[in-house]
Amino acid sequence: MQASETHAILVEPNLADYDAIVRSFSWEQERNRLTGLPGNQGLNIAHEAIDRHATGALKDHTAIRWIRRDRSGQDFTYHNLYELTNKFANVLTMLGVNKGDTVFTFMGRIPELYISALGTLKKTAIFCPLFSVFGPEPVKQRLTKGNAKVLVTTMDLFEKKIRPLLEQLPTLQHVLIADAENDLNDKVSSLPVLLSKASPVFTIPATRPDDAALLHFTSGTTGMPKGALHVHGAVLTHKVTGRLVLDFHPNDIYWCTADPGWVTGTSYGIISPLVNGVTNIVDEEEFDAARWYSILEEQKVNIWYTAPTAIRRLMRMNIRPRKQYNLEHLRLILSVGEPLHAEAARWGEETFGIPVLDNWWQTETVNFGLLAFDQIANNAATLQHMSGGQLHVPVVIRMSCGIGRQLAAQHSHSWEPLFAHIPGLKVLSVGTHEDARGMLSAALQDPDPVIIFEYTAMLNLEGAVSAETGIVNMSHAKVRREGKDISIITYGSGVYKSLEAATELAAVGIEAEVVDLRVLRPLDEETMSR
Amino acid sequence: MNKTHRAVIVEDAWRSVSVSSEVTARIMEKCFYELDAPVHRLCGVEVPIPYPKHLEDASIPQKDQTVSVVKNIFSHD
Repeated sequence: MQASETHAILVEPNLADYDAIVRSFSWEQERNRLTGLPGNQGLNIAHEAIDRHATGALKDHTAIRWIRRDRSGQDFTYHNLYELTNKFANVLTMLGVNKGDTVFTFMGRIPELYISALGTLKKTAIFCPLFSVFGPEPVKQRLTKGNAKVLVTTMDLFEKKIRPLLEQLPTLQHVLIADAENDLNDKVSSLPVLLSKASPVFTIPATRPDDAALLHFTSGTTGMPKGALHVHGAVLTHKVTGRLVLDFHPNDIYWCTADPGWVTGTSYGIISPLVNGVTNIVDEEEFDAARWYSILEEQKVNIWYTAPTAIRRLMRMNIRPRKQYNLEHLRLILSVGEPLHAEAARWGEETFGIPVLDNWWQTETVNFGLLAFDQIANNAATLQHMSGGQLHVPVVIRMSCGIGRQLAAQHSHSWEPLFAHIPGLKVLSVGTHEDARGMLSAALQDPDPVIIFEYTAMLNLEGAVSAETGIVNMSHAKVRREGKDISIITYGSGVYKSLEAATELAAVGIEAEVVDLRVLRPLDEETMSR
Repeated sequence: MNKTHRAVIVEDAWRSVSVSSEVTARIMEKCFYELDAPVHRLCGVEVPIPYPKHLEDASIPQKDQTVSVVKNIFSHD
């Protein structure tokens, strides 16, 4: 056996025995694998990703290997990244950026993107990456919705897409140009100049696990893009999934082909590999089959995380990678982004000798629930009964339903009655923001199947939810407005519309009570008859 | 029901064999002698959901319908 083969063969998968892991897994134990900020100052993603390695055994280990368009490379050790991100955090301090302010990046996969991301997290500001292919309108939408205070970009993108927008972005105070030698004006500065003035020493301030860290926007194909905040505590999941799903081992070379403009490219193209202390390959260039295979070979990539779009393109090429390239180090290929067809998974097995593992998931409208109707109605709902109480099916299914997004006949159903018909299921319907949160907590604690219906049209309604929002009692309807003259009994999107109707009726002297059923199975007869 | 003695049920789903059918039946079973008016239902129109926004809006109960149905119930008192 050649030395080069030993790595791929001798590594024992972290998730070798799924059942054993399920039995022994504890979040408490996983939390203990994180170090936390020194002096009990909390939990910060950047500390877990860089600082603790930079001051330990992995100090001189390559954290990021950047491959330029021209194929030349540059290595950044954990210690290099430590100093660079400290400098960036100090630049933000100089610019008056505070905790909770938003720092956007809009650039290709160059080192400044990664330094900005992690430096922003150190500063406890919120990092939001934008995909460099976006046109001016999607960029403007996101910078506006995310209250951008600082934008880091390149000269080319600035001139083409940002300069014409500047007037329309009142919250944006600073634009930093990664490849400008000099400042352009008071507002548009050279990042290298700022970094050269900044100290390489920075102390991460106290950070709570629920402090906001990352802002990601949805693609916006079904309306205005929605921003989703990830908190510093998410690093726990980055760590666990990196170990158990991506199977990170010491000295692994890992390549995630996703751009950080998408959530995979940030969570699994920046944070998870660094938190797990492996070497992260970053390629500046876009897809190119021969280039990709030769990177896998040259860099001795062990774990390759890519997407079905790329896999489909590779499948169309007349390249036999294992014949033409030495891919003996590759032991794991994973795919995410959209579902991977069986054909592609099989192609992986035939072409690389290992299957392409899919870990894609997505929220869909309620209608896809029909594809799983047999499993829901016939298995999940009946197993407890059929096993004499020995088997519980602790599944929670969230379904978005209803009209309002012009998704037409097959994506706009209100299937609540269909599912509420089935004994063995609990069927909940969300009518308020608090319930959206509280019902999920309750459902997750239930040992038996729970279905939660959420109206698609309501997903874009904004409202504050109190941090004290507790767990919803899954057996009771709720009176949303008291009245003595008539009961309006409703659920889901009927709740806010009925409350509006009740306000209008009050103006003509009719006091309507609004009852939100919330639980469609089992129905709460007591509240109804009271 | 023991307090208001009248009910309107508002639901986006189709009317037949719906949550509102069930609620109506249970009100009848449990509170028939408390009722001062027949239970009224406002449900989704029983058609495949249309695509354009104005038809979409017309396919499910809206606030104005609820207001006018309630006023109507009281006008018969």
